[in-house]
Amino acid sequence: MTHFDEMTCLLYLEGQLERARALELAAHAEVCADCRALLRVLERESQLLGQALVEEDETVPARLLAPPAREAVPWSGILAFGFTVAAAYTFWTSIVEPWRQQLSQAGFGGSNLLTMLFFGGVLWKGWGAMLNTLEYGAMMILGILALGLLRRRWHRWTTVAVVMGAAAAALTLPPAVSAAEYHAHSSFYILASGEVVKNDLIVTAGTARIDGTVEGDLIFFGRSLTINGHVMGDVLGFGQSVRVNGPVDGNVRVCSGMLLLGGPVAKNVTSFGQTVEFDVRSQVGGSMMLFGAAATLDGRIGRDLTAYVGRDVLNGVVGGNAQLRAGRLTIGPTAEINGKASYGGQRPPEVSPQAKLASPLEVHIVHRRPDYASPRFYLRQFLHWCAAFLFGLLIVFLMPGFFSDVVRSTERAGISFGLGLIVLVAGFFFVILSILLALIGLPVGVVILFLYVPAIYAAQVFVGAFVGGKLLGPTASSGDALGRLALGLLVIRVLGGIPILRVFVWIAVILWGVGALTLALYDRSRTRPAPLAGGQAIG
Amino acid sequence: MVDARKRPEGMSSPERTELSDAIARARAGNSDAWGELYRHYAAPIFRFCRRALPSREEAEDATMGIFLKVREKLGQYDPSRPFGAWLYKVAANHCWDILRRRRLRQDLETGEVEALPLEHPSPSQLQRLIEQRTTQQVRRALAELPARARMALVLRYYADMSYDEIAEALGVRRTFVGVVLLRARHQLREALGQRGSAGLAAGGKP
Repeated sequence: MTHFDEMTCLLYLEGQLERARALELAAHAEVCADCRALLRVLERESQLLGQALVEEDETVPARLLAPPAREAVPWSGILAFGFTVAAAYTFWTSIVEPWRQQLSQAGFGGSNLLTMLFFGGVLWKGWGAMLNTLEYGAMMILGILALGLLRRRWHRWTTVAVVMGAAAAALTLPPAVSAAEYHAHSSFYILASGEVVKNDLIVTAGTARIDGTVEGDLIFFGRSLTINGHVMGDVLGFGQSVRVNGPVDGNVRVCSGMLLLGGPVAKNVTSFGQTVEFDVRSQVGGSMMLFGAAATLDGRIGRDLTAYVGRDVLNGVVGGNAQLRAGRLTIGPTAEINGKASYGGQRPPEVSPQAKLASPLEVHIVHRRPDYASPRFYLRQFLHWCAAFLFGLLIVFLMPGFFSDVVRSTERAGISFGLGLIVLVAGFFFVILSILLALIGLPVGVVILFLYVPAIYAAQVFVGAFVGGKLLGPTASSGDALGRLALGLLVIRVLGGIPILRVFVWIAVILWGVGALTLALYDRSRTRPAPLAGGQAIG
Repeated sequence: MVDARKRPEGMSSPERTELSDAIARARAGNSDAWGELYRHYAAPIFRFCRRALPSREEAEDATMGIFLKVREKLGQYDPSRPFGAWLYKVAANHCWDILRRRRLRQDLETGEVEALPLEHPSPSQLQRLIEQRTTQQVRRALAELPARARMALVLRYYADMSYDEIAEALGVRRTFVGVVLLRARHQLREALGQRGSAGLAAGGKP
């Protein structure tokens, strides 16, 4: 006698067998004890499953007791609009506009800061090509999103097909980046005297010396770079030390520990780094912009000088205006400023009486502590609070699940702090180091560094939501949750406005928030389901 | 609450009329009627989500999401068909979308594993296993199953869905549903067996 298999028995019990087959099985089970036992035990299993699933083992959470309400008046929309305007205004007046003014005084002029720094060729001409790529990428993403919104339920293969198609289309576009000579040497690179590179030269090496001629741009990543030869394009350098002794016909843009300028530079100089020494024999045709710890400027600058430097010593000549921000400023006897000169800093500058200034130095002593007596301070705090709340709203509306994940992570304060410290301090140095050693490409590095900005800003939102939740208790509706967020942000803003304490408050908030964000991202990356009826999941 | 599987077919007839009346009024935009429907179905739908999704928080969020969706789509509901079945269909799609987005569906790609023959169980052994396990242990074992296996069992034995509805919700062929269910049962037995052999210590307090 042949028995029926388990599949058939199950289908029979579930009423899924055709009539003839079901009758056959029933007749067989009449006489076969084995099959009868199997049927019985399968039936029993179904019962156990049904019981286990239907059993009311947990109470229904309070927030589900009332139906989610739809608001009649779109207050949140109106509020959000108001906040957007306030936030945009704050951002523009307190960050963008001052920078723009200072930069335009420094001879950069025109378009807005970001465009100028990254895409206007101030740092690197290749950004233009990058911008195009980014634009295509953004268009593709937008297109896919739009398609996704039109057709909610996607077949994976359709998505893949669209993405691949778009990628193929993007690849067929003409390449925007021109050819360049590329040299990657682990330790030492020399372009010997008399040698000529006809186009751009990109060098990655521990130490590089350029004694010959580069007709295009010179781009360097490594420890130290010395230019004794002639660069006809721009010099873009990332490294520990950069020495420019030979003539450069273009701009010099450097991000390095030390920049020594000994030769003539026809256009502008931009430097981010610790120290800058501008030799007396050296000359810059355009403007000079410096960010760093110390600068000694003995050479001649054709146009404007903008410096944000801890210790600034000026002995040379500035053809245009000088805009100086420094911890300490010394203007020596040989100094000469032909345009307007202004200084901002905490200490009064030391100006030699022999120095030739076309107009008297405008001095603006900056107080580190905020001006608590001025109503502007409070208005500003309010606008900052609005901006932070708006940012929070944006996160809540765009990624509600992720938002609550992060807020939940803030509860694990110890781990969050530790992670925040690691990510912010160690991570930052790691990225910088990776760029300098050319382990990762510059674009990737810059993108990573720029991710820090929103993460740091978002920190207060997550901590605010946590603080608000702790103060008013857990909530059921999303409107109440936003109220808690607003309250929490207010608390942070108030605490962060108290003298002396404020520094610690902000450091704590940033470490905590960024740590919680990292923790939530980490948890997300391991998508292991938690046990359904497990202990920790039941609140 | 009565039975969590609140299909109207399992109700007394006055209750059913009342509910279908509420459905009709809710469709016309009456928010009191909507509140009535919500109160009736929120708990069973929450429990459904709780079984289908890994965490309680996700189940809460999903429940909210499902009701928002239901309210939006109420116009598309065909009143000649059971409301409960339609509601569970929306819920199943919603939860399955969440799981799919979280890429817990790796088990779906393993088509060849599904084709492997299953070992024929010994009725007496199976009987013993079933008799020894509590419903709580079964729930805990369910939570360990791959998303699709768990989802299939929940759809069938909690939401009382037909094979056609399950096929549609999980995006598999109709003829394949039985295999998915049987395989899920085997996986569950394995999980239950391991729980037993690992000692019943874990079966005590959650």
